[in-house]
Amino acid sequence: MKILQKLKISRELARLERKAKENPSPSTYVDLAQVHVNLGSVDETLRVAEEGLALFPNAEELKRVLKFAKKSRMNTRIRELRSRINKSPAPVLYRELASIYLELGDFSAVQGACEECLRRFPEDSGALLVLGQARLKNFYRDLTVSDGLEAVACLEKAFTLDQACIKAARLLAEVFYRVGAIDRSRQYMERLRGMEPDDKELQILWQEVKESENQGNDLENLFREVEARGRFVNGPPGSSPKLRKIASNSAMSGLKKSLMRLADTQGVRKAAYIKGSKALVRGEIKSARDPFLRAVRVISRSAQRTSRRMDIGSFNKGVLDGPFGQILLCSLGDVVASVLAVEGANTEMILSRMQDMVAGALYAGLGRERT
Amino acid sequence: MQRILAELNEEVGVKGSAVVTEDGILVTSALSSSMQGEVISALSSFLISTTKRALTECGMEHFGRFIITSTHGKLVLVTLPKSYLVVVADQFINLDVTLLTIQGAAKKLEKMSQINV
Repeated sequence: MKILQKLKISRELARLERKAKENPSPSTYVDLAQVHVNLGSVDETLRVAEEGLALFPNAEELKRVLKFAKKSRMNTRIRELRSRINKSPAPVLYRELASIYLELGDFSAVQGACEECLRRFPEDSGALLVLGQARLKNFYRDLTVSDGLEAVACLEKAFTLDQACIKAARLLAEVFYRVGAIDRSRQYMERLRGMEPDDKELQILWQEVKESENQGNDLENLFREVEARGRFVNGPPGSSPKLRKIASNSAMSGLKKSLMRLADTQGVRKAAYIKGSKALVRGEIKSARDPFLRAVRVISRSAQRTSRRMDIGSFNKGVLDGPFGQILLCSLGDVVASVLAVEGANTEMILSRMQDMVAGALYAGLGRERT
Repeated sequence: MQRILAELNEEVGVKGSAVVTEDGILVTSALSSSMQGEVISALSSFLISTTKRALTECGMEHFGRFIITSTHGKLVLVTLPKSYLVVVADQFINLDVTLLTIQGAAKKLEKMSQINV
């Protein structure tokens, strides 16, 4: 590539990177990723797509870019692994190959790689684990008894061969819990708790297992019931209303901290986080009935409606200047963060904090209005 | 007025501009073919009046400038003595630079309206 061309591309990249930071939007990230794709830089494409998806988790185009980049990277690795296996086969190479196929969703390739590995290395727990994971994935998707039972057989064998295989035990504990085989799940959970005492996800699963009732010990029957009903006895760990409330409380505490930090920023007089009819407020706001909140709601709704009808997309940010100083708005879905700042406040920094708060706190429920 | 708007539209990223009154009358416009003057003035008027009303309710009289950033574009409203300058831009515009030109155009329009009065 000529020097001038390189310089031009690096300038374009720098411009887009800056734009993505200053004014993030799914299309900005897609444009940036596209430049990296054209340059053949897969790692950078992945990084940009992941960064974009962290901010805009529902952006379909970004998801496609991520999938494409992952596939490109994995295809290169598949070729490398195949060539190494041909020269000198080893269980670790098969395991990686099967894991890549699993991530790509190519089940027959997973099965092929694992069976080939098991023919050569019958005592390899790794291949059994990946095969079990693939079967389990199919079971969770289609609820077919054969996939479920095959998955359990592979994972149990993997765990028998390697008693330190936490992943196999964890998957077994979870699938048993979901189909209602609570006693079996408890057995694995007790072992897992000894192996990973500080694991938060395991603690959540343990909590739910403890509170659930055993539906029976005939596995085949339990799997059949799940298939016939078309749903699991228990939802995924962490989905029970009680635990959702705990998760929501923890998200709320993070939200309150962010809002406090925002209100403490130099030049900020009022700070509010609004979701639907509820609001959290900080700064010079006396109560949740402060007219500032109503003004923010009205202005952001009008801005949203105007943006859409003018065909300029969804309203993200607004800066309103006047003798009162500045009103800054940041909106995503039904969430609006707003700040009343004095003139001369660091608008960019405040907006960036507001954006972080809105993006990170979307899943936090607001319990009640408060000051 | 048309000349001022046409000059403003030459800035990189500016898609069109117009001068509208709060009650939705289109004073003048320089918009691309994809934008309809009446639609822009009606929507701007809606945004201006609701924003002004909301501000008045919390004792904040009026605003001088309102910048909206959306996923596919930006909208800038600047208050003039009896009207508003509306600028529609694409999402890639560097407003740090273009805002100076927009403010300059607003000043020129302001002077012009004083002469007209």
